[in-house]
Amino acid sequence: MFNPWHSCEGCRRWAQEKLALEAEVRELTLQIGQLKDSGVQAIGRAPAYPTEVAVEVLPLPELDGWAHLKASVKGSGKAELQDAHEILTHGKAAILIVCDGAGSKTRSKAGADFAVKQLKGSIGDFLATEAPLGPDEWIIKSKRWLLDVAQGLAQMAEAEKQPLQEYGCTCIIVFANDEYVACTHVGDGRAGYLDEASIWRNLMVPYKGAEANSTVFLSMLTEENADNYVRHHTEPCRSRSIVALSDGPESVCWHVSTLNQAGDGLIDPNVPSGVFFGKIANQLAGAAVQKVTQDKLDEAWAKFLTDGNPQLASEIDDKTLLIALRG
Amino acid sequence: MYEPFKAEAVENYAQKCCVALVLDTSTSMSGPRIEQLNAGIQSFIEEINADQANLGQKLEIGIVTFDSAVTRLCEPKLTQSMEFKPLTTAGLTKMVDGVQEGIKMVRQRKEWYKGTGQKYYRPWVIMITDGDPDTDQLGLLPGLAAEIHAGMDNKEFCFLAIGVEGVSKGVLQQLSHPEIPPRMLDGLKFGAFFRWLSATIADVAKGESVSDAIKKSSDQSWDGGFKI
Repeated sequence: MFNPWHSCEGCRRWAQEKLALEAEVRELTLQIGQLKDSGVQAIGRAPAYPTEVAVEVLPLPELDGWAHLKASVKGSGKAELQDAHEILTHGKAAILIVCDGAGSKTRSKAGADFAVKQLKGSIGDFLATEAPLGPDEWIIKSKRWLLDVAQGLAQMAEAEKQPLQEYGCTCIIVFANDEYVACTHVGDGRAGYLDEASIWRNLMVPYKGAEANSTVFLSMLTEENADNYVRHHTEPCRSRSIVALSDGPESVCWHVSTLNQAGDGLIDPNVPSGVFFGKIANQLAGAAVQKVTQDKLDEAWAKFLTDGNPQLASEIDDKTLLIALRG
Repeated sequence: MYEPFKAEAVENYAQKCCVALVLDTSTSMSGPRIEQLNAGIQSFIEEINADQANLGQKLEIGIVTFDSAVTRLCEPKLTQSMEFKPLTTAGLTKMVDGVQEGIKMVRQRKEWYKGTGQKYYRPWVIMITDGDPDTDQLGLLPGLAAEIHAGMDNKEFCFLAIGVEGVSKGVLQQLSHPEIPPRMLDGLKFGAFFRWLSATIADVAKGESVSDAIKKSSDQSWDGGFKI
């Protein structure tokens, strides 16, 4: 055994190394303390910035048109479902519509139902004309459709003698044909698509204030503010799959809060989970091959959104998630 | 029924909700009162810890005590990293200073959330007391009431005052905003109160209006009614 007070060379070296090690430990302890104080450590365990995941989806050469899943289910903390949705397909085109009624507004379910019904009519009527609808026309048309809904909500509020803000709801419309995918929205929620490299990408940036649950609603929309409140995005590609969802299930299927790329703060990377949507798209593709009826698919999808994993089961907010897939 | 759909949830960092518990630890809270309050807080922490899919990842609890002095006993943090030491009692009732420290705590936490890029829910300041403020605090009550009312009106924070038997109800009424009226605890039912609190915060965190969430929760057995 070394004796630090011994004068031999080996013991002197041992004592020096020990002192150096102790100094290193003190320095490391100090650095850890500083890290804790800086806030980065205090954020705690946070997921890393998501990496791109390419997930192959089963080819469906025999599928004619679009297969889809659709459901809106009540959150466990809600007295009534305030989401509404619709899926339209027309030839090569598919349209997803999601409206999320504001939790604190008394007539928001009526507002969401009205918006979906009116958009279904407007868009369905337009598609039936077989008129061309390029990306630029999409932007003009979809803004008009939303303004018409806002006007309808105002009339509804007047007829029912209720404040217009009580009909507050968000709205997302996603469109896909053989040439491009597009999204027009007011408020929050998420939308995305599968690109030609089999990577899921976002199609919109949700409107969110500094605090959670603060967003804009269709009931706030006017001709004057529409350019601020209505947001559009288009991407030229032939996408095999598009998705749209209310904010209820977003933390289950979307990367919405992770460390930033530098790892020193948190951000919303707004990235659809390739793992999640790859699994669901392949399960839908399997069901399409088996020719499972739409009623059974919708029933199973509602069951999944209700309690398909612990996070969905404990989600208090309403959950709407639409996905369309083609060959 | 066709049941083909299975997929695990993505891992996300949860939005945070800061709750500052501002607790009266003056001498009048001695005995069964402080014992039941300690037990209630301990159960509250354990219940939230058990809910790691939801509140356990969202709720950050901070504790401020007030007696003859104001003490930040615990900075806001997730309950899984809290080490709650039972409260002890002594001294007088610096109520105004205590509530102001609670408000300061949630404001600082909001700034920290913003600075680190985190989304957050409206924070809560919850005062539990059984007494009157010290006489040198009485003149400060109108200023504190104005600060609380402005904070509520601006949706900066929620303020909830809970009275234990013997409390000055007039003071609680003066401080509270009409959206969240003061409440009285029935006896020492702190356990039921904290169960109600976690359910109510969860509802508000998901968009329920504060006034609705407060009325909605099924278990109101702790509520002794508030009449002046």
